[in-house]
Amino acid sequence: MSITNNNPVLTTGHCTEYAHFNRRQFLHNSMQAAASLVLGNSLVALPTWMPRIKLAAPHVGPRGDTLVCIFLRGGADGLNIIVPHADDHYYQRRPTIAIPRPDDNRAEATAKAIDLDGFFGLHPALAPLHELYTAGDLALIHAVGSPDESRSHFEAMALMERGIEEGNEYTGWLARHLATLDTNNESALRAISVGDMLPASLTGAVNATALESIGDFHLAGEASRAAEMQKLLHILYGQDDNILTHAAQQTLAAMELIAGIGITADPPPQRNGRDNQDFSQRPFARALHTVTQLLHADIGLEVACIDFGGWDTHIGQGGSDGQMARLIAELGQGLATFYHSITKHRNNVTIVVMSEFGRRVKENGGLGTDHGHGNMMMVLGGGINGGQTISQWPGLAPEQLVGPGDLAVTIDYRDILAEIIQKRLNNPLITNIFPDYTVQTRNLAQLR
Amino acid sequence: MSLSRRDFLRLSSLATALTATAGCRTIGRQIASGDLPTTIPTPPTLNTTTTPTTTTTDPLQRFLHRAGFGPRPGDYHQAAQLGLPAYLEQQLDHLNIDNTATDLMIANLDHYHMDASQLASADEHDVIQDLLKARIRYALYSKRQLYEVMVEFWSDHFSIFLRKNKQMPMLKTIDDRDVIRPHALGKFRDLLFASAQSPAMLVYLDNIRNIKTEPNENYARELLELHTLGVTAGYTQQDVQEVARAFTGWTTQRRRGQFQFREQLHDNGRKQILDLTLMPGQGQNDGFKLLEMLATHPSTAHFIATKLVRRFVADEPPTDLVTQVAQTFLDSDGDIKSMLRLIFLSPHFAAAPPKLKRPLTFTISTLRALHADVADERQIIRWAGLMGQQPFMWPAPDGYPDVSTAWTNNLLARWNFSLLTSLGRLPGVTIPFEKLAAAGQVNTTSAALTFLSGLIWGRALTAAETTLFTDYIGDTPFNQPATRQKILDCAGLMLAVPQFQWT
Repeated sequence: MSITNNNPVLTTGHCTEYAHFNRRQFLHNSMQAAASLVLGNSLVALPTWMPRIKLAAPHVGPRGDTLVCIFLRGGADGLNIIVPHADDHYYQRRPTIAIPRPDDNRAEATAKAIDLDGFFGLHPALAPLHELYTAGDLALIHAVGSPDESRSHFEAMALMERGIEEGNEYTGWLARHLATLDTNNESALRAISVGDMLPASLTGAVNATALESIGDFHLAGEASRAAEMQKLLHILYGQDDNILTHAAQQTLAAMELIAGIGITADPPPQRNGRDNQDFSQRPFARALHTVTQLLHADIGLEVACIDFGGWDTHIGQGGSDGQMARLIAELGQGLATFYHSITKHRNNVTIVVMSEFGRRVKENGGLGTDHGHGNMMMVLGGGINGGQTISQWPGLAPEQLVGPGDLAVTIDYRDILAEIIQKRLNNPLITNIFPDYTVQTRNLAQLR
Repeated sequence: MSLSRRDFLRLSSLATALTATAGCRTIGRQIASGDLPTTIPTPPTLNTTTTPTTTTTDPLQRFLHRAGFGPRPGDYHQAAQLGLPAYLEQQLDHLNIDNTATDLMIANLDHYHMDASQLASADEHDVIQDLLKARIRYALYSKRQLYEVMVEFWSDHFSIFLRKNKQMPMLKTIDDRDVIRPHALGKFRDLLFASAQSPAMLVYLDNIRNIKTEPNENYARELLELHTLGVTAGYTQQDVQEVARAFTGWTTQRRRGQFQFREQLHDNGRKQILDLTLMPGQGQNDGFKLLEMLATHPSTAHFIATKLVRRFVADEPPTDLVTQVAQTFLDSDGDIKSMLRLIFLSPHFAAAPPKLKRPLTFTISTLRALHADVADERQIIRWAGLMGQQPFMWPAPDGYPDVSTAWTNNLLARWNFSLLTSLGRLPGVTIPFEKLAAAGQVNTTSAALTFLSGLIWGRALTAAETTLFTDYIGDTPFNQPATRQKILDCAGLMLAVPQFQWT
């Protein structure tokens, strides 16, 4: 990528011109800038040495669901989130941290797993999700995961977010999805991640913006002078055509869109005390709130990524209550609140919850769990065949475990994502998104 | 501005007297704040018809922005008097650059100076804070700018993630002091050997779990792929496994703070790595012989040369320069200074394409350009995080990305940091505009704009830029507070736009 100095000289004429610069032109110009940056398809032009999967020409079609992709960072312990309460080995290997059976008379009512189908049960802190399950909107998948057995967060996340089994491909699976689906959506907020950087799954995407919150997505400094300053930024970033000026136009366009929604800054996040069970001000709930705002504003959001960290529970994990139970409660409350807030959009939204790997079946000496393999996933939405736990349960007996004692993977995570992409996001070009993989669908989703 | 010898002696004795007291930080800040030329020349008028889109209109400017964290007021003119070759030599001879003010400011970071046993019982959060503050203070104030940039370069090359576990802040503090800093401008071999015996690296890449009965390949793989040969060097999975065997038993003492080789955990069998045969029964010498082979391997020379050229010259490194630098690596026994000398005096550097500042460089260069006085680094650390580059927080062992494409998605954070800094709304950070204006003999709006452009962009404004900014400010009198505010907005904009993002 080189920058030339033979640009039109900045003249005062540009200033006058800007006065008549409307939003449509603004977007149009941004798109022109974007168009000059693509090579055959809409991925950001990358240096030649960066590996990149060759993509087919984009599929042209209508928009599908908005996908909300929630990544539980650190390797969430799926065995304590969706509890295989009918598998005796679960209780044998987790004498301290197991979640009691739904019919365990010795346990407090609020400590027992919530039965789903006689075999699996929800962690009690996921009670807010139970009604979504019985209503048929929430599907659960167990013993799902990636073939990678590195048990390294770095390796596992890198491969999963890139949607590959090996190699150093640069682009992410969501970036390739966006690049191969042309929905005629020119929104500056077609894809977002709520946070300070784009996740690896969005690496290489053209129309992707990282934002902390909508309320904060505006210029700092003196509010009364912000509009004027924005104009100057636009002019000063308008003198050239390269990755940075394109990113700036994207940012300015996103700011303009967001300003149009008319949402003011949220109050600063608060830290909760240990006993406080209200998680509505925590970053996860606030991130979902941002997505709600964008859905209500109807500004073309197709993909939203949210990271939720803290799941690497090597020590003091707890069971029905404790450290991880709080995370689970935060997850459950957050998802349920979000789903209730988007009632009218439910048939056009799919939410996926995933993590890089599950954890060791046997609890360790520190009453936590070590890095494992197979895990759970959750999929929520109006177009999802919910009310079922999809699993080919491999069992937890010693001879049924893999590696150092881990749940086997019997469903590939790509099967789940691919079915959503095909049926809910309207993109048939799965081989571009998950190369060298043959997808098996699981009757998880209804065709839009 | 360098101090006279008399000043130096006076300050050194002052420093000695004050080192033990909490006041040394304040003294250091006072020295640094006072270290401003009495006059700052107005930048010469531009004699070009095009608008420069980077801050680096000449190789010396480029050097100050790439081989340092950006110039402070007056730095360019001082360096220009010497010329690039002489200024480069001065920077390479870093131990002979007086750094009293910075040393004083580092001196009171208690946790940064603790030994392993003190660190082990210290609060993890305090250890992190002092390590990050040291990183910021060195970058911001040190006169050994090239050295600090190389410290950052090797901290990425031998990247260690501070949040790997609770011990890592303590171990990385030791690694920063004992591994990276002593050798940042020395020999690559010394760095490699020190890193291989660094408790932080042994813990981070799990070599402490690499034992004869259960080899762990994590360190072995990254040693070949990221630290020495590079992923395209042609080694095999078998080589990785053999390297892992060679490093079995390389671990730490029980309390983790110090290296230990445990013979009983070492696999003493024969090993074959590329052309190197390690005979049975060599114990710790397996690792030493292997490191020696890697430190002198042509693939390592090529890999290190590529990374240095990528950092200092271009995202896509010119192959002929890489070849020359790799040859210098081999001829000079991996001498880092010799490679840097070749790079910075090459025609490739003189004509280098633009490169986007990484967030930390952007942040620090903003503060340096405006001669900021920093009483509290926490906001700087926070904003570096919002921009995506908090020091030592990259989770993967490959270090923060070093190409422009990696850093374009989060511009709003850069803009807002610029605006808040120039408006004086960043808690703990003061910009001495009155003092700067006095040194620049500024007393009109247009003089203020030219002066700021000189500080920030290193050049005068074009006629069109002057019109743009003066239109924004309006024709209210220079001394009115409203005018001042708008001039500060313009300073923020100058920091926010491409001219200050590209080097």
